[in-house]
Amino acid sequence: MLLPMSRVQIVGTQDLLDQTLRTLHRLGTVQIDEEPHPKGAVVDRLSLSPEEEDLQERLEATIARVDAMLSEMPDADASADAAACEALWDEDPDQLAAGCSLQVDELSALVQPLARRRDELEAEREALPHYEATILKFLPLIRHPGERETVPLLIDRRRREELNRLRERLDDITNHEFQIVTADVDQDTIAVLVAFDPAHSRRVHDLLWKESISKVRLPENLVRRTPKETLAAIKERDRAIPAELEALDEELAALANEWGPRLLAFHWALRNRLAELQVRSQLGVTARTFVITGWMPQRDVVATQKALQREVGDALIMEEVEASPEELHHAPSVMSNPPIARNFEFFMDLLPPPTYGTVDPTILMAVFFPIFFGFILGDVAYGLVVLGVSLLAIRRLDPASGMQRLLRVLVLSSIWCIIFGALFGEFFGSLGSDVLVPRLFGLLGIKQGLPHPLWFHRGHDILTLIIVAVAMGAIHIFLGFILGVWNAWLERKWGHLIERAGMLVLLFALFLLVLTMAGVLPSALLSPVQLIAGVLLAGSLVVLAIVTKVVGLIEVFGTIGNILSYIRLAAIGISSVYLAEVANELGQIAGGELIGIIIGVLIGAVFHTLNIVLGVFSPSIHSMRLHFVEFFGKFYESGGHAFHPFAQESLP
Amino acid sequence: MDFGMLAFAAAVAVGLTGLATAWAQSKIGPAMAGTIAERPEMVGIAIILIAIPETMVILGFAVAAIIMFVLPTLAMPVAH
Repeated sequence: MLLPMSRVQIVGTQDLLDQTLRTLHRLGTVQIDEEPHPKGAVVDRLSLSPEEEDLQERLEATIARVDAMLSEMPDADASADAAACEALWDEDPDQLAAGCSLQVDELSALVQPLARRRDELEAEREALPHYEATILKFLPLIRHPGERETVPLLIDRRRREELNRLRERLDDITNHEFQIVTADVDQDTIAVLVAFDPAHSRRVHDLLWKESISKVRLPENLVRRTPKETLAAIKERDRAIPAELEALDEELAALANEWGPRLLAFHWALRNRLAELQVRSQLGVTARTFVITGWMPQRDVVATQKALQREVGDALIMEEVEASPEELHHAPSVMSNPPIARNFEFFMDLLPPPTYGTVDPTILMAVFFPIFFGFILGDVAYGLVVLGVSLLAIRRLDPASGMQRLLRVLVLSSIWCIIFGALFGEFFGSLGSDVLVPRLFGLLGIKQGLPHPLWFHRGHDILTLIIVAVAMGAIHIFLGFILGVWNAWLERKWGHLIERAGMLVLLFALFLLVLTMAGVLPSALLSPVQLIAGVLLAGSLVVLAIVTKVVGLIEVFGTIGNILSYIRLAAIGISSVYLAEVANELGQIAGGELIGIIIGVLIGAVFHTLNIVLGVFSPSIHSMRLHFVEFFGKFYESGGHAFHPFAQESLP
Repeated sequence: MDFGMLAFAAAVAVGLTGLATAWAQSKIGPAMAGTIAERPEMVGIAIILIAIPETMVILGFAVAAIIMFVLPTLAMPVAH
């Protein structure tokens, strides 16, 4: 449900502004308006003085430097000390920014050389395979390098004809004592190796430079006399780099552990100080006072007033003011649900929040989602497996992890899965009723036929399953319209109220008609019920036609379609039943001997596991979809605004 | 009533509506993926828009169920 919100106004003399903002920031109970809207007063927007603007810039620059430093270091094992954070926050902001800058400078002198060296090693490690591949292209070109100097070249294929001119020039320079061999590197490049007497080295290199021919350049530390030696150097370097990187990482990790908590504390304090500075532009001022307007949960008003009185003094006034209907419409929505339903806020977070003052359906989702999930999966054994895995994961995962809510939803859903599994008589599909229970009865000497499900067998009574699914849908949609009427009442939208009430009456009339056609009523009641149903149907259609023109009548078919959409509960359930059948059939293929049983169990386990995995995703998605599309479409007013209180960031 | 013809009719009912749903969702899915990439707050509306065409295949299943389970009972002669 949504918490009642209060519109508040805080007024005080300007000398109290810093302490007021500090207290409100620490309490985190009030959402300050983007623009001040005080009751009964005209105020100007507070603007920052030049000194405050300068401070803001310095804080932002220091935060950026701390961010950069944190990103260059690995994550620290320890988190920031809470007392250290509070002490920093109490410091004068100028001193805070200056002190933090000095510390960042000191750390930077230690970290930057390490980070730079790390980048160089990473780049070298990435380049080594490229050098090796290029050298390997040249290696076959040289059979007997002897005492000759070799120069590897890369030439664009389009300049191939220049090779002939190069040959002629080399012939002149080296007095026929040279060798050129070529090989294709790729479609654009030719590898050329020139081997010559080292006596002609300078003239050859001059020629190559004049012709603008690219030599294959290697880092100085890799260049050796011969390509084979160069290859060996590359391989040696490839082996050595990981060890160097590991040593660097250890140094950086040690620095992170030593400095990390301090940096995190600085980061936290600086950001909070910056927030207190930035929020000032949302406040109003007169000649001597400041004004803060905003929203807070009604339950926090008294505690906030007391805290302000205690920390700021009696000169500050905080009062609740009456909100206009338009203001109420834009009030933030804060959900407050019982612990079990709170887990389902995970799904509600996917949608825009409900408009303030309307229905929050989280509790209803907490009721129906597990029922739909259980109805679809409907197997005792599957439910036990999902329950066990969910409970295990809850214990193993971090309690603050977002997955915890989803896992708790699965726990609830698996309980309904077990309940429906008992009603449908399913334990790994029909394995329980067809194999396990008769064998158990046989061992115990109980002479009894095959056990019957408590309710009905899904695989055999498909029509019953469909009827039950449609009935569940009708109930859910009916409830949706009731909530729609309630929402329309809360928002005083009379047209919507009449429309939704009309749809309710129409659904009820259709329900009565179905009862008369299904033959479940005594014959004496048939005619009266039919008459009532007819009158209600006609009346509701007339009302809908008047209130909504033709749109409402079209909406009737949409509503019937929405109800029929719940057939998916049956359809996906049947697919689960028959997948389990397939798993059981395949498991029995291997025969009745011991080895056959073992193989059969393994095969069955694989397919049942697949069915369970599908059975977790598919029912969840479809249950969620039925809520979001069919159910919420009847009442959910999604124009709400999330509550963003002026609150300090959580401690790192 | 020939059971094979009933089964074929049921298969056509589900198959064609399944194709239609898949075609509709193949258009909506990539568009919604792009929308969510730029505006993550639209994920709820995206789920709703992607889910809307599913009604077609569910109604196809309903027709198939009627074909398989209701039509044969209607075709059976009534004993007097």
